[in-house]
Amino acid sequence: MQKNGIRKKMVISCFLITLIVIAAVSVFFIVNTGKLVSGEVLDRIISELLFITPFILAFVVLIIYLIASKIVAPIKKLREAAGFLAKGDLNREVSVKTQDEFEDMANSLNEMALNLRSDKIELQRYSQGLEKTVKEKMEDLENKVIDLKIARDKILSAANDIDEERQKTIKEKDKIDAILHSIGDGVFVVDKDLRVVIINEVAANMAGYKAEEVLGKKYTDKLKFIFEETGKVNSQFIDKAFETKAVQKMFNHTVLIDKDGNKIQVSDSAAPLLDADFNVVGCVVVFRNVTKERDVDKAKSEFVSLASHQLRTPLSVINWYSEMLLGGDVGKLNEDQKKYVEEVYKGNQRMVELVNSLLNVSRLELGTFIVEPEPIDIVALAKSAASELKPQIAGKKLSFKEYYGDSLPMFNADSKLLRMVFQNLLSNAVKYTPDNGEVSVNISIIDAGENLGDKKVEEKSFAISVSDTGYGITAGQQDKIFSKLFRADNARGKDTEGTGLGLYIVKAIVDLSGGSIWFKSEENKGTAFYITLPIGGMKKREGAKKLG
Amino acid sequence: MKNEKQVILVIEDDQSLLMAIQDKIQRNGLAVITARSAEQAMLCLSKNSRVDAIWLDHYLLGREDGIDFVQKIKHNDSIWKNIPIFVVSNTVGPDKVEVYIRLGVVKYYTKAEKRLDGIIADIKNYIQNININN
Repeated sequence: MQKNGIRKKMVISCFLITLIVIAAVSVFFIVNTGKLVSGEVLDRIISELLFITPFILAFVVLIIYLIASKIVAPIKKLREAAGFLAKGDLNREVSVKTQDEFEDMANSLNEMALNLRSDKIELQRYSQGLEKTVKEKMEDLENKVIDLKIARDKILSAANDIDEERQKTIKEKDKIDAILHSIGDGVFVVDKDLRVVIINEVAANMAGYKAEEVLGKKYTDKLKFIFEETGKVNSQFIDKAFETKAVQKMFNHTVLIDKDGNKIQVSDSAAPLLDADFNVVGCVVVFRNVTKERDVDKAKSEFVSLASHQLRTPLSVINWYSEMLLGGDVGKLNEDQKKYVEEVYKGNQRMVELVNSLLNVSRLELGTFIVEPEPIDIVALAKSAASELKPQIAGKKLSFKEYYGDSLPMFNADSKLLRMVFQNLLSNAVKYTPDNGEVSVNISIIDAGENLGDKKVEEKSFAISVSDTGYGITAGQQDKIFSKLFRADNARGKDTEGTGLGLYIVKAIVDLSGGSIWFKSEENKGTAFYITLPIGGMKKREGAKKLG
Repeated sequence: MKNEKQVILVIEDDQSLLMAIQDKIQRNGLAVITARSAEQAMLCLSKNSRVDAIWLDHYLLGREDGIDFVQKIKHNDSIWKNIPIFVVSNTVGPDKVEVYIRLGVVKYYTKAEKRLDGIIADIKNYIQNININN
């Protein structure tokens, strides 16, 4: 930096100029006056000149100085300001109030400083903004990297889980296979298109094929189920399972035709397989060879049938021949002959009754009977059973009382079985009551908690009671009254007729219907039998034969 | 047709019963032909020009039973399809009774519960009323 350059230059310049001027003037003067003046005056002029020269010099210097200040000072300030600017210090303001070009320059410099300042600020802001953006973006990127890492880890762990699940599934499948193959029944599963997707050995064997031969094909290809009676294809149980989305059972009448054309009686059931949205995706069928079962059932019921036929035929012979004898068809009988033949006839009637009861008992015990409930009018049934006894009632001059509740609902029951209950109880009441006695029958609805014959009833039921003013049952024999072939001593004493099976059958029927039976009795006072039957009615029961 | 007696074909396997039934029917003024098996019964039908009613037991001699017999004569081409059939048997489950009714027999009786004269009176009534209507 040239510190005082201008001043120096200006001072030197002015000094020189002054000297030159003085010299020139002096020379001029000297030259010009030299001619005129002599030596002394000349000396005196020269000494005066010399004497003035410093003053002039000083004066000139002063002026020069003033001028310099006016020029140099602002320039200095400007130089300073520019220096600051150059250094980057934008906050200085230069003040030059010389009202000339220097002031303009100063103002320009100031303006420049201002602009530079604001530019700097803007730049700073911009740069900060940029920094911020970059920082944010960096953070974003970092986060993304973290996320990706997490995702990668998750995928890895999921892959592990899937693998584990696969292993589990394979194990489960093996388990299921093992179970399927150890089930004694035939099991196969079809998909929506009725193709066999799973089949166990029992099923395949029964049909006479290997599992591989059946898998993947429509089940109807190899597993031929037909109706026993018509020989027509039976696909009902599977079709219905798909349709109704409910388990279908077919106990009887289905036959499987195996590879060699043999007929195998089967009992099957089909259950639909549903997915989470309740759509049917397939069907599971379980079936087993019931030839033996059916044979046993058949044998049982045939035995009973045959037994009853064989037993009853000779009884019918005795019946009708006695009838004809008594009717005088082969000649008139004398009084004694008539009496004797009547005994034969009566004895035979008892035999018939006994055989009937025994056959019913045998069916009850073998379980080969059917319960077919339908809505019946209980009161009508009771009345009909009672009407059969009208002759005896009239003959013994008994008073027969009936109490039936108002608007009793229909009862779901097998009418034949229920009729037997009424027939038995009423005929007992009539049989074991002496002349002029009273028999009454009572049917009503009873609510839970109510009392019937000294017992509290547990649920809403039909309540039936048959009571009489007859011989009663001795206290000591009451516990045996429902046992097979049991007849109380007093009954046997009064009346030789009676199988001892009636009450056993009645109790069996009541138990079957889900009801209860009990009685109260006092010897020579009378007996009252109480029966409750659930309002819901009897349940259907499959079997081979109807009782009675 | 008043001079000729009405004819009942009795198909029953037990001989004693057969005799009793035959006797009783004859005492009621009707004619009887008897058979003990379904095969025999078919023969009887083909040999006799007139049969007004059939008394049929369920259990018969031979392999065929009463139901087989009814099926044979009740199909559309049979000339005997309109002869009234009365099934009199000892024990036939209600499922078989249903089959008989479905096949078109007139009535079913349980031997042991019915008097002989009762059944015969029923049959006599039935065929005589038919004749009146004809």
